[in-house]
Amino acid sequence: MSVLEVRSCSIRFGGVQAARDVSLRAGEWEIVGVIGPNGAGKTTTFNIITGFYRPNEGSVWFKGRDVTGLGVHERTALGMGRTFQNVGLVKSATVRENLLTAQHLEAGYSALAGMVGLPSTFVAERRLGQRAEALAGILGLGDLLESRVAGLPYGVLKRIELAAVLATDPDLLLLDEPTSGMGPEEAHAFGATLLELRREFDLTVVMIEHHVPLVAQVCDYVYCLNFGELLAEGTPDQVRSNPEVIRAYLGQEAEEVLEPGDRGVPEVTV
Amino acid sequence: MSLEESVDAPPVVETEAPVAEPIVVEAAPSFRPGPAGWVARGLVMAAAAALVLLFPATRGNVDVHIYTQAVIFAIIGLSLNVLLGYTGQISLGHQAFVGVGAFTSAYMVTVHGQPFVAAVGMAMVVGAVQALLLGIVSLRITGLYFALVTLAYGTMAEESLFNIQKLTGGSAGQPAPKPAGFTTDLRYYYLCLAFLAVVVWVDWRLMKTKGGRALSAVRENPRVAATFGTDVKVYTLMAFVVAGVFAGLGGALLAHNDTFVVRDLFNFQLALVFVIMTVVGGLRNRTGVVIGSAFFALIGKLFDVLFENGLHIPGLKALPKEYAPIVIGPMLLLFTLTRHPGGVGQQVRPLQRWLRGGRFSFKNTHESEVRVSDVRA
Amino acid sequence: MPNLLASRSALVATAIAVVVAALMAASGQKQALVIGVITGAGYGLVALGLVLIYKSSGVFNFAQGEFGTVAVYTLFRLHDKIGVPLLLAMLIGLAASMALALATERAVIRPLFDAPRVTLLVATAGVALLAISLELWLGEARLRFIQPALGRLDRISLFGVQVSDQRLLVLAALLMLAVLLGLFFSRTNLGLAILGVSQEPVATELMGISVRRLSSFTWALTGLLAGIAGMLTAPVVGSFGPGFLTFNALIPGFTAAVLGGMTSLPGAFVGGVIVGVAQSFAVSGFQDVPFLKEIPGPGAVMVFVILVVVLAIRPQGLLGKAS
Repeated sequence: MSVLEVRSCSIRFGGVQAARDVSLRAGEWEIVGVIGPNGAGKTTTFNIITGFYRPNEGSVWFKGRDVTGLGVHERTALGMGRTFQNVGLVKSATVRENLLTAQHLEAGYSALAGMVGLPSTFVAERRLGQRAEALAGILGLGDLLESRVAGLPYGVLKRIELAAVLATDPDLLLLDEPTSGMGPEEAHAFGATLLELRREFDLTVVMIEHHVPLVAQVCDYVYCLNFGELLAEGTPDQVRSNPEVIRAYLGQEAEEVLEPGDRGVPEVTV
Repeated sequence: MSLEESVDAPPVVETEAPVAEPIVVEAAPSFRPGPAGWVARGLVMAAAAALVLLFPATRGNVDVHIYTQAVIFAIIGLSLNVLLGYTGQISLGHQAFVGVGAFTSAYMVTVHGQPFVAAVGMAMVVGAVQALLLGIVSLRITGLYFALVTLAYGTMAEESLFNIQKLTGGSAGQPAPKPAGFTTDLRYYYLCLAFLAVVVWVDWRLMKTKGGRALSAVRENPRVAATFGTDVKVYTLMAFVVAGVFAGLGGALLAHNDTFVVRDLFNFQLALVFVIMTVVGGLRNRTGVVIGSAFFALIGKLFDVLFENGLHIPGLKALPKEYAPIVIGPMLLLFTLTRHPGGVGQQVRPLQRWLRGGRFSFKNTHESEVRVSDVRA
Repeated sequence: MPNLLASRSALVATAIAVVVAALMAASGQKQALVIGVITGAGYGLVALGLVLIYKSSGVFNFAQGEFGTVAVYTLFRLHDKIGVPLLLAMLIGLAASMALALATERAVIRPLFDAPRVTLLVATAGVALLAISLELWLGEARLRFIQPALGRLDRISLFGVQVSDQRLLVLAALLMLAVLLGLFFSRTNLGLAILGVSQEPVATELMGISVRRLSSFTWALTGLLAGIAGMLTAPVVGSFGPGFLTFNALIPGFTAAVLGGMTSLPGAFVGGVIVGVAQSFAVSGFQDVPFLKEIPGPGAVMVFVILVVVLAIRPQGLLGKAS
């Protein structure tokens, strides 16, 4: 059974068809890549999956259930976690506070009980704090817990965001360009991290990515979007050598593109 | 690529081993005060307690009456802070919540013969209902336009709600006697102080638990709040309800402090004074808000003391006491907004940190601008 | 103004207005209708100033009413207390309101220019409060009574209702100002620049126009409008006190601006009249309806309801553009 199924979703904004008939699947524990040139509709698709947009047509199915009508926080409760291109964190708060906020649904007490100050809430808070510390530790953020998020370097922010998303106890992780701003070595290290996290947290991952080697390294299946439509899908190798895909990125005829490494032509990183 | 790594996926194990390279940060050297340091801190806290608890007992009724008003203003300031500071929602008609609370309590006691506790409880309920209704409006109309709506609501309350004869007793006002057992000004002062303590407790627990964190997230970035699992609508409404409850409480206590409620008290100027005292106090800073609110209640008294001790500003003596807050207020507000967004709270923070056992230093007290939720997409 | 007539919403608004007018005339509420139109004209004047500031800087100027009140106080002090000739006193009054507007722009708006708009609203509210408190301090809280400068109270009979000279003057002033401003903003370079600066401050600077000077000019103009509004409406009301324009006309003025569309100058005019008529109708008409007559302060309630309904259903107002 697939964890996530997007069935023929389309959405229109004013006169612009941002997505047309987009379908994709992610099976349990798969890492699925979503690639395409800028403006192809990848983030739009994520927004449809997570509930920020309601599609004009089509539906979104999560763990066998139609979630198309559910709100963002409801999908989080069901197990969807999502990162943002420009880092979704509460910038004025500390790392610890962000990790605590992200455990909103794990708190185990009602907001009212919290306000009144029942003894059980003190215990719960301690537990949440410990979990926050554990997550921070796993992502190497242990020393930064009391630092304010605003002002930290971009790469660190991405790690904090990842920790926060993991704090929501997701089954499905939707990562929007997690390696943007990273060089090849960092991206490769991230790939290893991702595999490790998948194993430890039992995750299914759908990832918008631009780093082709990373996609090849970790993804089980890849979808390529262009102009809001599904252009191609398949294993990373299949998609990578698909002439339509190459043309979409390069605007050239397929024959002109050579295998990377031949004749010293640099790797096609998009 | 095969999935052999995850075919037999083991159950979730949270290991301590970092999956990513740890980021090393220079930790600030930890600081512990010596015994003398603790004694000093203890003395300061004792002095503050003495000021609040013992000093009023030495003064006459007129003074105590104003101190009580300061305590009540602190409650109202904290109520507005929940909306303005924590949730980033504007309320320019807060005097309406307070006024309706005041009249409800007076009405319950005088017309319905209910005991004080029931009357105050009802005031809190009515405050909550009003605030909830406005909260529902805020879900649809946001930011700047919502500010306008709260303003219009306040003026409408002034001209319409407060003219309901039965509720408000018309221009003659409605009596609101002090409760049995607390009929002296001093006892009533301690009663209000107790209420303030409860409000501070709830406010503290709110911000230390998931509710308050949700509000902060909603204020700063509602999309992120939703992604973290917070129902933005529900928590926005919750903030309004909490603010409404505290405002209703404040109104009820105010009514019984004066033993008489008159509708002229709850006008637009009062709404602005409330906003000013909260902003000048320092948004999101509990101590600052309490101090700022108390200050505004005590301004008239403050001027008296200064004049008695020789302060001479031409023409200022002629200023009737009631107008003092609305002359000083806007000046402080504009000063705070343009130069000093952290307000009094920002000033007080070094002291707070010191009292908690840290070092006394002026570093890191910077507060970013007074952020109030703007028109959201 | 061909655009105004061509737009569908303007036609709808006119249709509604005609229907309401007919209803009111038929039901014998002619007095209310005429009064409503005139009061609405006053609201329209205030709304014009509000829309002007909003269009050029996105700020809700809560001090608009006080700019007007200050002009009236100055006029009164000079003319009634010191004996300065009326015309000169009026000019000085207008200068006072413009000065206050400029001071607000310099001391409050400029430092907070990048702040959220709500902060600016609160700040201008602070300015308004300061002005009110100074008026209270210097002038005491009691009302002053003003004789209309123009004598005849029954110059014209409109639908059988006496309309005074002063009221006609307000109406005429509003119409004239609306037309003048409309022309100013659509034809003159200065006007276009003012509108342009809010959209494209950088481009405007590059074209050699000082954004700072434009801002000052806009605020001075709005102070002038407020001063005119105050000086015209005070004699109509018959009395004035501290903050009178703020208390009586600001919220209806805002509602009018929102109803007309915060970005539409003709909309401010239309909105003002509609709000004035609706309010007037509520005050007199509700008396006859069994349930509604129990509601105290029906005028304020009506204005509030209009505001909420417009913002909930059609936030861009009748003539504004959807954002």
